[in-house]
Amino acid sequence: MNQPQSGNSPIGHGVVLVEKGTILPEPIRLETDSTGSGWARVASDGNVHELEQKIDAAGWTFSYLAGAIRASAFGFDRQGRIHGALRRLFRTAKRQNCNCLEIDDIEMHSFLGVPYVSVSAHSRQISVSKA
Amino acid sequence: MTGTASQIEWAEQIRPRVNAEFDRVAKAFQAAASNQAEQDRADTNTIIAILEEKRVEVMQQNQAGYFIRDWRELNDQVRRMIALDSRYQAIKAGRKERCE
Repeated sequence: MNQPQSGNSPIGHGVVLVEKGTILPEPIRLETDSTGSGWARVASDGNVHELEQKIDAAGWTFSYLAGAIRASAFGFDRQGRIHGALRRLFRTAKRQNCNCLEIDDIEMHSFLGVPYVSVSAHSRQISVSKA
Repeated sequence: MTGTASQIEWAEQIRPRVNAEFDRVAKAFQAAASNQAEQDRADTNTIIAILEEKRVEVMQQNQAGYFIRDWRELNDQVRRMIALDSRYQAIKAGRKERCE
C-alpha cells in the first residue's frame, strides 16, 4: 500500500483525485488530503495520460464514466468555494461507485457581486484488472 | 408528502440539504451586502428577499418526486431560480445602467 505525499499545488484541469483508502498499484502515490474531504490528488509530475499509462502498465484498469458531472459553490473564500464544489462531486462519484475524480474545468464567476465557482469533472474508477 | 414509501424516504433526506443550500447562498449574499455601498446593498437585500421566497416555494412542495428529480444533485439551482426572476433581471439592468 502506498503512503500519501505532501503537496499543495492548485487543483485544476487534468488533476485526478482519489478516495483515501483506495488500493493503488505500486507506482501511484497520493498527496496529503489538502481538502480535508477524505480524497487526495495523485502525486504525479505528468499528465492524466501518463497516469493512465502507468496504471495500465501495472496491469490495473482506470475506467472513465461518460457524462460530465458538475457542481457549484458560492463564497468569498476561493479555496473554500472550490472545496465546497469538490465535496459535492466526491459524493456524486461515490454514488456512481467510483473512487476517482478527474477534474475537467474550474470556472470562477460572479453573481451580482457574489463569487461562485463551477467545477466540472468525470468520475473514474481505478481497480485491479480481472483478466 | 406524497409518493411511494421509498420516494418519501429519499425526499426526506434531500429536503434538509436543499434548505442548507439556500442557507449557504443567503449567507454569501449577506456577507456581500455588509461590504457594499447603499444602492448595491439595497439590490443585494432584494436578492436575499427573492431567495427567501424561492425557499418557501421549494420547501412547501409536497411531492417526493419533485425533490428527487430537481434537487437530488445540488448544483446551482438556487442561483438559476433567482436569475430567472424578473426582479433580478431589473436589478442587473439597473446596475448595467449605473456603470455606463
